[in-house]
Amino acid sequence: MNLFRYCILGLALITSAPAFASGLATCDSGDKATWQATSVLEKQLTEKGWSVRRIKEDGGCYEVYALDEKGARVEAYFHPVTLAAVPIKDQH
Amino acid sequence: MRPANGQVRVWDVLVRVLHLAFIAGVTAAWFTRHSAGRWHEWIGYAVLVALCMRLIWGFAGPVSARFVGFVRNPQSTLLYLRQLLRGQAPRYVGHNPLGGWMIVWLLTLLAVISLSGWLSTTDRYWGVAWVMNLHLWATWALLASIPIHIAGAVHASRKFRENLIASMLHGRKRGARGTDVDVPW
Repeated sequence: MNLFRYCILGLALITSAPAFASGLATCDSGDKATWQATSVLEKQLTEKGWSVRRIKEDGGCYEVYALDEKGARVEAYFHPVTLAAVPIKDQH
Repeated sequence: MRPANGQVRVWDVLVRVLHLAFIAGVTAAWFTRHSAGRWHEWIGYAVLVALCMRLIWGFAGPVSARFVGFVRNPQSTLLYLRQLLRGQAPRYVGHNPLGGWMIVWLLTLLAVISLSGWLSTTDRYWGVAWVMNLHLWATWALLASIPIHIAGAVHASRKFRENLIASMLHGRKRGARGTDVDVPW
């Protein structure tokens, strides 16, 4: 059953920790206790005319899925302490 | 049906090409999952097209490609599993019952992954957590299932002294002999 062991090893390598961060952006955001609540970010973006669908963490940033003021799909990153926009590689 | 020296052509060209397309598509989709641009999406659409062709072929293709030719009922599948665990499983010229169900499972996962991926690019389901999570978890399930699929092929290859991976490339296998279960041509 050597093959089985190689498969497990391969799977372990693929699924090892860094694979869970998308690598699209990283934020040096330190202790989570210093982060602003996602509701604050959501409120700011809603006031800008965005319709926020989801806010999750990725690479120490807040990753936002939303429709912007023109109704276009956007995936945007924000620093969780300053809530400043973090540029990412062009997606579309 | 019988090219030479007791060999039979089991896997037709479309089955083999689509199998390669799934391998290439899944690999390419995995490595472009966070890439800039729309590569990942186009690869997903290509897999969806290949999947539709495989499903049509599963009803309209030759017997060895048809679902009715290799999907067995639960009783036969359990019986096969018991025989396998005792080391007494017969050789199948087509898919064995567990292999047949593995194909159904892999095709189902490919359908879930490609459809949820497409859905997550629509305005309506953009950023919707359950769609994204379905895409992720079905992908992990596929990644866990592929090694089992390969292990099954390698195990049967060793047991019956044939190269099933090569057969999936050239399409030929040794014809039925003795207790072998033939394709219901």
